[in-house]
Amino acid sequence: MEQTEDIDAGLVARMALGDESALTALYDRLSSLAYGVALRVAGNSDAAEDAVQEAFLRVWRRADRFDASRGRARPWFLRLVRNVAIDQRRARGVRDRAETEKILDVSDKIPADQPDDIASRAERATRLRAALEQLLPVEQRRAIEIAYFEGLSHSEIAEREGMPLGTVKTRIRDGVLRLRAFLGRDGHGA
Amino acid sequence: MAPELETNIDERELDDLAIEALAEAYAAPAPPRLRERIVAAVDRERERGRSARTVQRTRVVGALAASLALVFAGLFARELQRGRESGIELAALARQNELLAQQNGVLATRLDEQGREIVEQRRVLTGLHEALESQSQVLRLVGGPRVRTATLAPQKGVTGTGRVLVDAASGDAAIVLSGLPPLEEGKTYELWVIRGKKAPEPAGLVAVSDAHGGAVRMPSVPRPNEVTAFAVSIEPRGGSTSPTGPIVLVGPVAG
Repeated sequence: MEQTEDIDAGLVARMALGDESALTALYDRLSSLAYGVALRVAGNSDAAEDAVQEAFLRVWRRADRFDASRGRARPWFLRLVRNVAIDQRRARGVRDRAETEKILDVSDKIPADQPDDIASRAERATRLRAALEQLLPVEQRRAIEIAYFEGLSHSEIAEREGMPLGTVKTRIRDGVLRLRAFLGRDGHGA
Repeated sequence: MAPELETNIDERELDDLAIEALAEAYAAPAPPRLRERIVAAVDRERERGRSARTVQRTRVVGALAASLALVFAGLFARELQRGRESGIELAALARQNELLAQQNGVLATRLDEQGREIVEQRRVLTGLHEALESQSQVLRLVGGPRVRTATLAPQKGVTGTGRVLVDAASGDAAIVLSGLPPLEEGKTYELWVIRGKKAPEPAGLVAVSDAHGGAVRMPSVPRPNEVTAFAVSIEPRGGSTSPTGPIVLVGPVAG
């Protein structure tokens, strides 16, 4: 995890100096994660592409603002992708839930001639989603996905789902901790 | 079996973990064109940046050039103005010089006049000084212990009187004339010393103005004890060695 983080942070630092090769390297490392998040939030591939492109452009413009002492580069970038996608979705005011549900099964979208690392990542994603479904009760998984993919606050989730705020917080926290424990046991590194 | 949960983990770490885990779980290969789109967008971004910097540099250079042009224009205008001012100043100086030259001319004229006045005043002063000296001598002569006098009486048809004073020891002499008329051009009064039966001896010329009063110092009279009388005649200018004109005053020495 630490070595991975060093690489991502180093690439961002190189981007701050105008190194375009660092941008493509970071893209190659994070594009599937970014696109997955954007797709989940935006609900369609065109909007997801726009969100990912905008996120990479913002990183390119603001790479010098990244402060490694305040957090790791990968979650920083993934939150940026999520926020951009949420903003764009809100700007559009429409969300095509049907399309979203259709494209969630990403394993079907992996071309046969994709490189091994992409295929490997897709496989890992499939196992992770399976784990999420096994580990987390439906309501817990739903709370987490709403919080992280729709950008709602705990209070907004509580209001929308009609449950106490404390219950929402507990579900999300417990669900993330279970996920963390699973990742540690399963040998997954983010 | 559900894994044992950790509770001593901060919210930030949980948040990072969640977003990464969810991203991993829902990872999806991006369309190949997206990479090219992003690279192209970044290239456009860089080009815009270069253009903006170029424009900025151009603006800066332009602003500098404009500033320099303004500065040089200002300097040129100032020099031009200085030139004009210098021209104006030169013209003013020329006029001033002209005025000064005129004033100098006036002053030179005044100086000449004053010089002449000074010369005249010196001459007058010299005359006054001589007159004063003469009067002083006459006064000393009058107050002297051995003075001899001769009262000169007018001859027939003549108006005026006179008196001659002579120091018996030194021969210093002075004459006081009163009432004699001024003489025509080329004539002068001349004093004569008479010693008994001998021929009159010239004792000096007396100016016409002197004849209107006041003591006039006369040349020293040799052997004053032998003088018996004095006389005044009208002679040609420059005097004579013996009387040639009419005797107007004559009188014996007393004492």
